[in-house]
Amino acid sequence: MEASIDTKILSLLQNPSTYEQGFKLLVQTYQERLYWQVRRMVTTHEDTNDVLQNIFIKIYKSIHNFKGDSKLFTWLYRIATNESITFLNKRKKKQHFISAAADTTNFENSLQADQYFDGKAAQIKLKLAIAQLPPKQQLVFNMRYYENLSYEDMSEVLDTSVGALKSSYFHAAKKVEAYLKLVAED
Amino acid sequence: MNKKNSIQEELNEMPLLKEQLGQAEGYRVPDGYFKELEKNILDQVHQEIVPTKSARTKLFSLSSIWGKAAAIALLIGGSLWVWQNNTPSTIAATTDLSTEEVYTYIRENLQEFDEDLLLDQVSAAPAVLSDLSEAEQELFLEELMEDTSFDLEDIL
Repeated sequence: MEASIDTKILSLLQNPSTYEQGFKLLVQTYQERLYWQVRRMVTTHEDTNDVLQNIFIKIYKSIHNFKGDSKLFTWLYRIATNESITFLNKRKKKQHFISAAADTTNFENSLQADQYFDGKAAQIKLKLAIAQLPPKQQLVFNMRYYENLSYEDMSEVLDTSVGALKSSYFHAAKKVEAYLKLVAED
Repeated sequence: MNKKNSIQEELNEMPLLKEQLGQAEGYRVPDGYFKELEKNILDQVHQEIVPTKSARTKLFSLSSIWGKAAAIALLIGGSLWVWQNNTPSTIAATTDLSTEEVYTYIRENLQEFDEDLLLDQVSAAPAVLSDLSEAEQELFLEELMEDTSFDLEDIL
């Protein structure tokens, strides 16, 4: 299903007269998946919206660079991930004086204040647990836990070996479990 | 049992975490958001890729090939300067890196370079930017980083 849509998109993009049609189909097909990928990284809807629009403009400008040696969606995910990391780095620079503890409180407050977050207590705890992980482990955990991406696809997106990704997910899941246990005991 | 098998077994048990916590996230989007998003994206690309921060007027146009070349030269020059001046002398002296290796390092670590240090180097460039205020130089550098970072990775 996915492969046949990708084939159609790429075929339309190859012809200048159908380029716009191909790009429109690409947006329709992948906007939701990319949205959630970005949202899990940058958290708020407003920031996700800004980052996502940048991503699609970059895709529009660079889709001719796609050589077809990976799946289209892993190529798109890679752009989305890189763009989100760039955004997070910029945000982090602006907030460099905030301590880790204050950062956790800020994160929890921002989740609860977000009008587009309806999470229950357990979901907030899980989000907080994920937020404690190193950035790479957060990425791996989100891709695997929420999106069920295969390790092979994740390997293409993150340019990391399957073995390293399995190990990374294993450690991330252990830390998440430990955090949740700790919170439950308090 | 070796470590590899142990990890694999643990991974097989991970669905338990999902069963306990569920996969729902609690995030949602405004009604009709994706329909609107599609329209917004297509409108933007039809307007020949308008700047992301539309409310902000760009000080410089980087659309010409010369503009891009100048921006890239400035970034690489600035990055090289920052790299050379932030590498401990003992390491710098004992490593014999080729220009290609340095470019590769810069390309792979472009996002790690400190904008403030680059800004210092840009400020030190006498010709083009000397008439700009500090705020204008900062804005120029920020725009330059945003506009060229993606293309740089392809070019270098």
